[in-house]
Amino acid sequence: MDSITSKAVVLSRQYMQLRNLATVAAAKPAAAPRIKKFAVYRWNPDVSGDKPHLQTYEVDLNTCGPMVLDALIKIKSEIDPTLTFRRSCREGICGSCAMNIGGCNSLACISKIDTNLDKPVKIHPLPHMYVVKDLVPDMSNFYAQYKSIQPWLQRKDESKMGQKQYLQSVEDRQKLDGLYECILCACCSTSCPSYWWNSDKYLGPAVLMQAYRWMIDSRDEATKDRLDRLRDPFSVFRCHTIMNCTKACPKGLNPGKAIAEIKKLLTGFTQKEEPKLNPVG
Amino acid sequence: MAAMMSLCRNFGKVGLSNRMTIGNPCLAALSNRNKMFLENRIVPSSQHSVKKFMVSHRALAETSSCKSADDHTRLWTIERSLALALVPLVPAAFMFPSAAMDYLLAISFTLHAHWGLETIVVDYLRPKVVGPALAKLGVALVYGISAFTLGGLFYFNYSDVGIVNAIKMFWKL
Repeated sequence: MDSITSKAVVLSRQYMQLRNLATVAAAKPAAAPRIKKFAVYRWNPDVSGDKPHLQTYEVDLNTCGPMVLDALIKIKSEIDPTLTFRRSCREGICGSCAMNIGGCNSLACISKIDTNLDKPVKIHPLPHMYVVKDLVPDMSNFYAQYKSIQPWLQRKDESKMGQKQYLQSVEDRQKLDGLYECILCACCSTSCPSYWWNSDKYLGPAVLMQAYRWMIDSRDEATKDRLDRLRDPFSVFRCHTIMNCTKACPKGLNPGKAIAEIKKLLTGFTQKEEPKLNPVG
Repeated sequence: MAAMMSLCRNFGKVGLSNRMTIGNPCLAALSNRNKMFLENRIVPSSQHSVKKFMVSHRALAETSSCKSADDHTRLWTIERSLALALVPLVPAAFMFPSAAMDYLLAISFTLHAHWGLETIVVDYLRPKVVGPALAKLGVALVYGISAFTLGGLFYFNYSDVGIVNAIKMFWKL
């Protein structure tokens, strides 16, 4: 009996030792900081003579969330409160935190931080946009372009509008998949060289994809007007199928294809299909 | 429609500020402060403001450096069709060499290159950047180069062995 008790005591001591060892072993790598450098574009219009420059911040990845936006928020709250950027939903649905991360336009909230500690993450505002401050671009032109395509449902007879739902068949609704998901973050438009050079006249992939979304809606009757507004050499035809838009899209959409479909509609290669279900039937 | 939109927007503004401030001086003061803040800071000063964007034939015709400002669809169709036609045309010219094929090649090559170059010039020599005179000069230069190329190729076809034979001879070297 005695020997059993003493054996049990020894065993439990050994177990405790092992457990302590294990705890030490687990705690050791966590204690070593993983310092990652973030080189962030800074420009302050309120400081006269301030020139755009990259400012480097050091963030310990052990105490930071996995996404680039986590690091930016950490920098702003703990290191430098003057750092300015847009953010809202932190889950890739609002499009506020669109910026150029490591040379690619993306949403900071759904871009993972590269865990290779040797290379700094370079963060710039969206390319070729006027900068309001730091990472905040002026989106006025982009929104004005979006407004110009009249992004709402239009009927020839709107006298009974709002009284009944417009009908749409399942197949007709499916045509809008891959178009309606756009969050207008402008990652695609600002990755397009044609948009860089001619953003005053060329509408850009994001806006054109929404133009197409309303053109092919089975309930919309303004397709001809919508197309006629785009017949000039610049609105659509400055697209040279570079396809940076599709590569950049953080939502995995294909604006390049939508523009090609607009070109086909414009040149008469394809026609808009008749609605499978009479919208007011 | 635009009038209706602006009406809606203004209504929205009035509605919001009324709802916010009715019977609440604190909120009213806050909203006034916000307004001041907005006017002073957020709304970009004249140097940041962006010109209103318009898509209309007239506006485009005024700013466009291209001559055909109205309907580009026909030209685009011709451009694409020619590019597509060149795919069978080039091997056909080598399989059935003739004077007619040489002239056809000369015309289609020149047109294809001309449209490509014109696009580059329109993209990179923008009136906003280099001034309207230089932009026009650039396009004129492209027309000059294309005319010279076409003339040169025709002359070569007429007085020498022709394009296809020349390439074949070059290949034999």
